[in-house]
Amino acid sequence: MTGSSDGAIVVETPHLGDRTHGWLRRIVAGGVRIVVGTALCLTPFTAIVALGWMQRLMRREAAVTLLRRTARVDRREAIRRLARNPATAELACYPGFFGDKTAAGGVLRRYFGGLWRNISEGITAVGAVVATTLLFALLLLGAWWAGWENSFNKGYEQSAVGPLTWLAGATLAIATLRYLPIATAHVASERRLAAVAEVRRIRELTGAAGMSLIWPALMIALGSLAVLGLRILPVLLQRPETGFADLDEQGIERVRTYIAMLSACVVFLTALIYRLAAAKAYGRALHRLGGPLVGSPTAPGSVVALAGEAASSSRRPLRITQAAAALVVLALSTMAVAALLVGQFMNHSWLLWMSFPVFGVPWLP
Amino acid sequence: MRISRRRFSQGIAAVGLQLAAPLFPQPAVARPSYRGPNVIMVRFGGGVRRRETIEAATSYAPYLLNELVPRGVLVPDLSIANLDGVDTSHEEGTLNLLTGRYHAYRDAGSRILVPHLEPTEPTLFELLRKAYDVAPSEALLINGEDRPQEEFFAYGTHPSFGVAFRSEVLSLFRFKLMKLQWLLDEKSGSEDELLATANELEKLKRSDWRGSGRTEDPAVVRFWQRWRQRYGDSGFVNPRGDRLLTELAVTAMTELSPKLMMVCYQDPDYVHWGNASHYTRAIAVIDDGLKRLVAASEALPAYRDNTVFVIVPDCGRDANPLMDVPFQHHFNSRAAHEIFAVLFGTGIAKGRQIRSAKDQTAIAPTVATLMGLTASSAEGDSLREALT
Repeated sequence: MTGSSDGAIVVETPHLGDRTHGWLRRIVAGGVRIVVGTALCLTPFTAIVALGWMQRLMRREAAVTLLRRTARVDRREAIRRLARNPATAELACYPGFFGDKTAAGGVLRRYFGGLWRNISEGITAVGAVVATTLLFALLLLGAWWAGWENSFNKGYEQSAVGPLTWLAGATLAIATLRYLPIATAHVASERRLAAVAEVRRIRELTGAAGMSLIWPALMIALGSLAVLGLRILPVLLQRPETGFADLDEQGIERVRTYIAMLSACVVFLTALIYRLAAAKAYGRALHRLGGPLVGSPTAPGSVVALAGEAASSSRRPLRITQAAAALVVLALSTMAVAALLVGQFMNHSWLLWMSFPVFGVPWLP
Repeated sequence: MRISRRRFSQGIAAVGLQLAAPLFPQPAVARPSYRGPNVIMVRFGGGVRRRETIEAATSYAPYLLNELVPRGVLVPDLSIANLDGVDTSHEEGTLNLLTGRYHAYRDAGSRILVPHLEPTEPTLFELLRKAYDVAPSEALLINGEDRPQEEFFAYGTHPSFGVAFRSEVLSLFRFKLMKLQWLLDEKSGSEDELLATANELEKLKRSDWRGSGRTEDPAVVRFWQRWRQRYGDSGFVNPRGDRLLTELAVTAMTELSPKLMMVCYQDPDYVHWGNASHYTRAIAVIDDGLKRLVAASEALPAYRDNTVFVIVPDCGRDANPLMDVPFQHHFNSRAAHEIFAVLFGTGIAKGRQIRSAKDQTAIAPTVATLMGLTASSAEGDSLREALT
């Protein structure tokens, strides 16, 4: 698949991004992506590029999942069908960090057009993260600050304020985490920041996703535990048996670099797996809802538009299934919030209350 | 109200000890009067690093560094030994300072986040009171309102010492025990208020797990009566936190003239899970407190030219370069073991630094040497280089 000079996407052969043959090439390609993704997640600004790339990957994954279910085909065939349809050909293409295979025009667009797209979609994703997490992040941060400030000044008469505020923030966080995977996938699919405010649609899709929501919730929980481990690591390193206290400046800098690289790799992988799981759940939800969805008009070529063309499926999850899924997601979300709290005990820089590397910007301060 | 068998037994034992104390030695041998020097130990706690205290470029304690260190002896390389079972905690650090030994305690029923440790070796208070004719109110522990578990360092369980040679404790916790009982005795307030007062008193008594919080010492009772007249019952007038400890200590010096007093500052520990500014602000508060204590010792005839100050932290804090706020002290880091000591006053050399590595257990035998006591159970060696 290439871009032609008049801007149309020319479908020559099913260009599937990842070649359908050559498992070794796929492994190498995957390894390269992990290395590049890890490097991008070393700083908050370049992490936005990785985030944008993940958004594009989510869109692709949601479309593939939807087509697999509606057309009852395997993954390869689903990608081929996406490629054959000019309206969705772009979705078939595996996005690059820097290049854009689908871009028409000169060398600059082909080799760096992807970077620009990743940046712009990453900024959109950051906006969505801020919109969904800012309130509970501020409550948690405020509770931590005010609670201890009050305690320091021995204001026991107001001693309940800190813990109660924290409880409010934690409750809001746990409730938000239930809808966050679908909201994230919806923004990725629609390529519009305003999509995060389509609460009714997101709720409908979350209900329709059923048990498949457990997977992104599980990734949030496991990812949060991994992040907790990364926060504990510097604390444990200073124990006498490690010899860390005897290191010179260069040695300390080496350790700092290793930890940064390990953190970036863990955060990149957990965020990626979480987002792919969210995209699959989103695709399944669209399949179950079928037909046009209530809400504002969708972007042409978006996955939701694709869903509107798909055969309607009446197999929405039973209420008991939805309730069971909600309970499991609640438990996993509680685990994630608890991991955030315990992590703060180890390393309580205020920035860490605002940082959610698994479902936010994939960067660990 | 159901109480556990353990609690019942403890209560009976405490009452028994209190009732029996007057019946037991107090040995028949007449003990000499204590002539001095007075010793004021300042626990520069709970947990401070050398960086923010005695290192010139980064200190938040200018009075300590610029005024007190030149007047006495600085031990910049004092440490808590890295031994099995030795934790860099406030309770253990304080007991190390008071007994001159590690592991000089037993666990008397600790709960999560609330250790209950009892000294098993004699504290400096017990050594002083056994050697000299010193009233309990002249051997004082000034304790913070958040740490009732440290009220019980006033005496240990050593068979040759114990409750008969205990010190008194001045703390907001003890004042509240007295105040609430007075309010009930005076029947001041409505029936609901009296019920609330009784409930609050009961709650405080549950924290008083040794049953020794309520004092009968007439001097201390009068002290609290005057305190109450000055600050009332609301709790909103008196200073709070470590400023309260300074106020208690200075008032005690004026009204009770303790021969040995330990002021257990604690507020730097609020950085445990809080802002870094809590830590640096608390160090500055302690520094201001030192200024007031020294000024009081110079103004009061009982203390002028006859007092030694011993300023030493209970433990250090982490100094992890990989973290933004590395202020824990529970993970056995090297920096959590690193503390310091500043000594000045009568019998202490001036303008000297002891650069060799010294151990926290050296403090108790040094104080014992100054006061003419024998700290035979102490592990550490007295800091003779600090003495004139």
